[in-house]
Amino acid sequence: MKRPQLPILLCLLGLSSNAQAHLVSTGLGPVYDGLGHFFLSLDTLLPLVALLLLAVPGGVRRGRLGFFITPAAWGMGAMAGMAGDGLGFSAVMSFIPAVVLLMAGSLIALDAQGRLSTFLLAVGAFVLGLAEAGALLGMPNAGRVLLGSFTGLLLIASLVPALALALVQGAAWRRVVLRVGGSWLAGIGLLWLGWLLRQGALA
Amino acid sequence: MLRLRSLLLFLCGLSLALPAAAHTGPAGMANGFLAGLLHPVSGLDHVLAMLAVGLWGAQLGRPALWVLPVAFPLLMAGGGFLGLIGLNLPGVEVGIALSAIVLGLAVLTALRPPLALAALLVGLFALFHGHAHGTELPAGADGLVYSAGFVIATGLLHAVGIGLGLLQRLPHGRLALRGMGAAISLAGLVFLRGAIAG
Repeated sequence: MKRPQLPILLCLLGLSSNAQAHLVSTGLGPVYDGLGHFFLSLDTLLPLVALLLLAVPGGVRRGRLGFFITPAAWGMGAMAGMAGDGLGFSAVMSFIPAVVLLMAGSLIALDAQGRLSTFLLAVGAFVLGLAEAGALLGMPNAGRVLLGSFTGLLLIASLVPALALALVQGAAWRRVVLRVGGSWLAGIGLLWLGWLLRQGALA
Repeated sequence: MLRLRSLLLFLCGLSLALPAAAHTGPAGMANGFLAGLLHPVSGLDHVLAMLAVGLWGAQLGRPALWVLPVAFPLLMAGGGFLGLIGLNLPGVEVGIALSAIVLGLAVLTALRPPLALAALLVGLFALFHGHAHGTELPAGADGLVYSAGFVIATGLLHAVGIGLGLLQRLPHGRLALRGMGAAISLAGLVFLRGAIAG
């Protein structure tokens, strides 16, 4: 996409009408529940976006790898969670998204580009899928809800790395912006983790 | 010219945006985010210290220009984490007051330490600021959206400080910057007096 067209695209996004953001309650079915939940839950969306951004510093090739690895690992984690009853991680399930956000944000801030960051991306996606499945265990139509979530994940995985790569190409300051954003994500993850620990202590 | 037109078009489009009405969650995500966004600006001592970080970064130039505003929110989150889990940090209010004094003096004197030392100093003070905020987290807040608003507000305050720091390019700009540093330092003395008095 040419750069002058990007502000126009963002402008069109700014003309959005009301989101009607309660698909979960409109009875469109479990698949749409999963899709809606994915986009409307910041605690599900933000760690995933951070993971996808982790693929960006490595360039186009690693960005493409992130597009394939993230959904695959997430899907495996979700299936493992459904099959294995959370794989015994139920006690720490609620902390996983915060930890993933902290890890991914820190690596983005450090401009990590090697195989280790790709490996950690896969691990992060796997445990996020595991956590998502764990949160839905015991609910009716959990499998279909996860299918909807997976569809949402594919959409995000196709957009986020591509947009981020387009934004960081060119001037060096653009890459700095990504690193600063990564530090913000890490900071959010750390505060969120502390809040969760406090809630756990108070419960 | 094309970029300017695109930017103007974008800004016009933003002004036409309708409310998304996309609030979710019983606590109201929008309220939690706004609460987090406003918290760093709730105290003048916090605001001045964060502005000072941006000013000092602008004075030092690259890479401190972005390293310091990265170190502060990150270490501030660390301090917030400590406050949230109940770990005590002694002399928090004194530390916050000292941050305004020391960072203000750094701007006033255009101090140029090694980058690592500057980042360490900024990070140390950030711990105190974060700890104070972490212990003040309101009950019932949505932790994630609150944290997001909080960190973003902190980063934006640094950006304002950096923006003000660009004044040094103007005639007498460097003097103006040092004047701001002096003002921040003096305010820090007032805060310190208050912190010691109790």
